[in-house]
Amino acid sequence: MTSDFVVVGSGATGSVAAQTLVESGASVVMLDAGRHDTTYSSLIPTGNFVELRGTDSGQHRYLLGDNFESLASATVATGSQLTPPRRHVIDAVDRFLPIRSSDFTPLQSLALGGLGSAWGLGCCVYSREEMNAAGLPWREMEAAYQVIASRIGISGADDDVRPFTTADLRDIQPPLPIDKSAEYVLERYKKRRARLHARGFYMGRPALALLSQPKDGRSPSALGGMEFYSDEGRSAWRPWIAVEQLRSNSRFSYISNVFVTHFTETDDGVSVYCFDMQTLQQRILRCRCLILAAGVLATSRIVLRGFGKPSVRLPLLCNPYTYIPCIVPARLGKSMPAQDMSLAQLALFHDGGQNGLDIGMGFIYSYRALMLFRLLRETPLNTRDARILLQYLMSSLLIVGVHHPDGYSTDKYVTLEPDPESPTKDRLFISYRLNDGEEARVASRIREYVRALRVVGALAIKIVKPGHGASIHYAGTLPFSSKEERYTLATSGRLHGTKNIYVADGSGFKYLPAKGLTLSLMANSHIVARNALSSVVPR
Amino acid sequence: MKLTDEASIFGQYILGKSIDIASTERYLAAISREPPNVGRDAAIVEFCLRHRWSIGMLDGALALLGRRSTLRRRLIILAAILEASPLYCDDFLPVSRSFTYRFVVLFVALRAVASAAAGCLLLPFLK
Repeated sequence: MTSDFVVVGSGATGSVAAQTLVESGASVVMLDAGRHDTTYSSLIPTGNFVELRGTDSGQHRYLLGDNFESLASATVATGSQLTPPRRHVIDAVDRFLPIRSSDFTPLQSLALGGLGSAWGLGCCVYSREEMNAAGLPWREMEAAYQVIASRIGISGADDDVRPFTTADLRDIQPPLPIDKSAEYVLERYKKRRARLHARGFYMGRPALALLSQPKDGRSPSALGGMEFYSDEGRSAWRPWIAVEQLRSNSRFSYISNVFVTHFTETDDGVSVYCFDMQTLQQRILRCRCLILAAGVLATSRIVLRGFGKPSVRLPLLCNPYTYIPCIVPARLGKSMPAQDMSLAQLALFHDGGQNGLDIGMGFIYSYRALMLFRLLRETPLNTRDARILLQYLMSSLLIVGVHHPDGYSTDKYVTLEPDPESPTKDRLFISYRLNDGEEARVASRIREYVRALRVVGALAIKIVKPGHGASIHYAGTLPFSSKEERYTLATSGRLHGTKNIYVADGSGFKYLPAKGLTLSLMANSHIVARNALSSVVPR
Repeated sequence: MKLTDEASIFGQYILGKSIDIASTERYLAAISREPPNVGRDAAIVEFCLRHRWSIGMLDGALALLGRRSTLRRRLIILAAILEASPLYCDDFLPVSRSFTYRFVVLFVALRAVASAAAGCLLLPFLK
């Protein structure tokens, strides 16, 4: 079997690359593990979270899981926010994507739609300074951002954070309503705007890939608060939506249940080696051009095997992540409205240097559609009294997730090492340690955030460091380079040392801004796909 | 003591009311997936079930000193099961409270601290 293009992975970048290629007339085969939920999606009734809680006698199945999956995690960990209907995102990962690390716990996915199936939907454009630092071509990126925004549909406001979220993008839908605690905090911010701006803080409504108006057969959000559980009405953009649309196109083929291991390249094309995930039987597909979009960690495995030197160390970037549970005293003991969405309510950016670089990003969530027992587990009080106290506190609780930018340093790298137990006979070793300077910058920024939150009426009750990898933002393993060196990418996305192998995920980013990276990943993927198209002359 | 009795006692402790058969059955199913309860952990659970007045104390002490203990895990499991039932979800969802409810909250907080302190004194005697 020979096709023009093989795209590996169906996540945010793979689906964008495939769509760009197919729309340009190319034939595309998408290779994907393709794990998907077969249990819970049909169980979740239409309706809003609060009403369902009082009426649906089957709610325990999707809230706790048939095997009580929700109860499994004893501590705060990467992926602990995945509800049972989203657990398929990490299905089979331990077996097929093994990792050894004492200081890094990443989230990897073999799902249809990849990590995009659990994406928090936050959309941010990088500043030109950030794009330059990351090695991204800003002129092309600005055009590509618009293409992606038009494809996926973004809602957002024209407020103080717009320069950080949608900037000059057109066709942005009106923002969705926010809840009472967020409204209160935003009003306080407006009254103290000058003081906060002087400290480099900007607050506003986040831009979300969640519709507030109908678009392309998708419905606006019903404000049911079920975003952690279902994709009702397709109001939230997910990569599987794009893949499903592509599957109706005769130039697109989707092959699931395959795991890509490596590649070889000859003058007449690329051989892609993969195996069936059930039988482990090897398959080889031929194509003129290979586009790797498996996610940074999975792509690094494929490239290390493909070049035949698995022990080479590749650098790694990951946004350090901290979250800060806060109480808004003015909202104590209030009820919560039945109609609300459960994603980020507010965004709080910190641009201390006022230079468009080294910007921190905080997304502010209400604790609305997740269960109270998760908080009970973390509370150092007896269960009976903690329940009463948390029930009272819940409406005033905000969770502020703060992402910090990341650059290269010596103790952040990945490499492959032998593992006879693994189907691929190897596993990824990851080292990720911040140096003293980086630790100090993170701590300093968190102190600034705690002070700023106090100004807007939100009192921090704890600072939680869930461990490295918890941001689920990974990049930089194959940095963009102008030199033709192995284990780097040309600015076109081509893998140096190859002719027709491109990398469309975040592997090339040389700097990882704190802003949510998914929109930038998709924009870059669109550019890479166009570059790949122009280098492969259609037959 | 049977696990059904354990569910009933723990349910009474968490919510102050009897729990239904479906929740009890879910508790049994969840516990069957847990590691076996042995050693000191088993002794603590057994003591709580025989002396119900001690549950709040030992639960509070273990919330500070032994979050992964069997007693804590089982109480959280049952709380999660009750929370995911239409019969009991109102005991977990936020509700509007008057200003004077703050005094109730203060009392509960003080009770929690006092029971944890008592539990810390009691815990060393359980082996």
